[in-house]
Amino acid sequence: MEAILAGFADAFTLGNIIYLALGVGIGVIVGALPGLNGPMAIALMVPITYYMGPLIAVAFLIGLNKGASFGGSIAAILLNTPGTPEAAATCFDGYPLAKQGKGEKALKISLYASVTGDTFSDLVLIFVAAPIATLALKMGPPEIFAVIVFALAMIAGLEADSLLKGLIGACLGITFACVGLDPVSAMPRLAFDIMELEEGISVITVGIGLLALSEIIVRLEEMKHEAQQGDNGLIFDKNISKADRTISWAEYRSCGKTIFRSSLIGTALGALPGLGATIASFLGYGAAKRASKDPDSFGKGNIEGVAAAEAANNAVIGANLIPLFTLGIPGNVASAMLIGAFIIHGVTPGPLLFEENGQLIYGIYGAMLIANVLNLLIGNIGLRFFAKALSISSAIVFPIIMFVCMTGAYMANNSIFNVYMMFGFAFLGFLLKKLKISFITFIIGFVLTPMLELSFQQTLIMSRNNPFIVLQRPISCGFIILTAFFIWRMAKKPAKKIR
Amino acid sequence: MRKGMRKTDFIVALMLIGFSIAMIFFIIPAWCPEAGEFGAPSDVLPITAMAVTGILSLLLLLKNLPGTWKKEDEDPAPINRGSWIHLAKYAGLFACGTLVFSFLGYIAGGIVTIAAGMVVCGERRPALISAVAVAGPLIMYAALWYGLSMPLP
Repeated sequence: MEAILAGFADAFTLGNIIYLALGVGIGVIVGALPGLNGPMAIALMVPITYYMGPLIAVAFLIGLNKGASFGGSIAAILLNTPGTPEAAATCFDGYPLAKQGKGEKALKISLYASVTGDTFSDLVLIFVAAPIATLALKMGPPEIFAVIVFALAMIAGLEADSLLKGLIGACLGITFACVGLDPVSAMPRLAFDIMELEEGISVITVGIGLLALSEIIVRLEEMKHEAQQGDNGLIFDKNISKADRTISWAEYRSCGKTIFRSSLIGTALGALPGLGATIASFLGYGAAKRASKDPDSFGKGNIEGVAAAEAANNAVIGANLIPLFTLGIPGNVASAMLIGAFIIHGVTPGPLLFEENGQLIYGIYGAMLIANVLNLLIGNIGLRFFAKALSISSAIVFPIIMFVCMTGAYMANNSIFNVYMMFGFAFLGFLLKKLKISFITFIIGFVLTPMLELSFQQTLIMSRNNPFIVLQRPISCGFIILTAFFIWRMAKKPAKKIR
Repeated sequence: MRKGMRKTDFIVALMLIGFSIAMIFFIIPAWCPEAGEFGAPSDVLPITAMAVTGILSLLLLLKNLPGTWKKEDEDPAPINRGSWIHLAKYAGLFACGTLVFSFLGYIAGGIVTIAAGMVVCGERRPALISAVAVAGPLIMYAALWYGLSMPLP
């Protein structure tokens, strides 16, 4: 109890609140700009958080992600182009509302639904994570090994366009993660006599290269073929009536069931590794349409459509942290990047997190709840400013982001070699995206490899070099069987359509 | 699936199989230390990962054999000459920017990277390019040095 109170007290300091506000604000702008997204912003900002305390650092990054998730809806509503992938479903009703002159109304219901969904999943995280971590502590190395293998297979099957390519991406990520020092003998492994490689490849370098810089290079190539977007200034026309610019308490209440349903969907999907916010937003939208008394109005400017999509995609954020905090397994790319932040500050996510850093965890919970309030305030006050951000030319934004990538890679360990490695991963990321080999499973495979190898080594040591112990223990055997069953089921399904 | 993607997958699968073989039989044995007294040898995980990659690539190859390429689905390949030129353009940009960064410092590197990036992205107004290219690195340097006490070259 003392740790809980102390943690929440740590979160409610002026310095924390300022950094949280900064994180949320930057996140909204990043999310609003098409081509940029939350995980990219997290990858870029992780090196900067090295100079912050662990609570502020993690809270800042989570605030960034929350802001970006709402920010994605701004471009979706005003330009019919989602700023982030999870805002795609918001376009269906958001853009028609903007064309009717109700763009501000759409943005506000998006904001309120986002904050509500986010708060709901944060509360679920707060109440559910500790008991799950207690159960997870009972797991030994064979169980941890089996869970990681299952998580990798699940993410590869659900996240990637094809199971084969998803698993190939994961295996490539594991191979790259082997560069560095062998965990048992501490001898250089695959370092090619390069001193900088003996330290291993930093997850920040991989994240910035694969997520941020490669995405910009891909986006710049796509933009050559896209038409210019129209002006969005009309949504702030003074001639629009107040009713069309605001959301009344009655309107918000009328969307209450939809927001609650979508929050449940987003939270449930967020807790499972591999199922992202994009799936949640589409499922939430679909469920709202089916449950509506007037389903034909969906797609023509129904505020419930916007509320459903946004509540679902934001409810994923808090729930995504459940497997991260309890098992140390990132369920998506944003959580994978957060692991980098934890590592920088000497904190290891996993079941021992609550025992060794209980006050920090509860501080993070407090900061997450504060971030939701700040998201609401900043979103409301800065709506016009954030909408204006859409008019900044990409010829200005993208070169600045490129230089921020170089800065971030350099800051990872003050080495220019890291910058070269980051470029290498950016080009690799470009190729992976073009070839539809999942870069997400690459990153998650990369991040999970140390834990995977450690648990495997521990399993062999405790069993006196008997790897089949994994099949002799019920829980680990259960997960291996689940993995095999899952791979068999996914292999039977036809490949997903290219998104 | 379109012919362009099937053909590309076939070629990529061949390359991945070759890469896996090279890694398993040449690179990993040459660059991994000898096995210790306990635990698994250090090359187990990379060899396993590469072996699985090789097997999966073989399956990808078998799934995309030339016989499966339908003649009527003539879609462009996902990577074409334009993509390679696009990549080379940015490789050149980053190489220049990083060289200036390492020899002349953070601010100079930033100016070159941002200015060259804006020109490559299609911006042609000299005043805007100069203003953004100079202001950007200066603001970032000030924020990192005075805000976070972070040393930069």
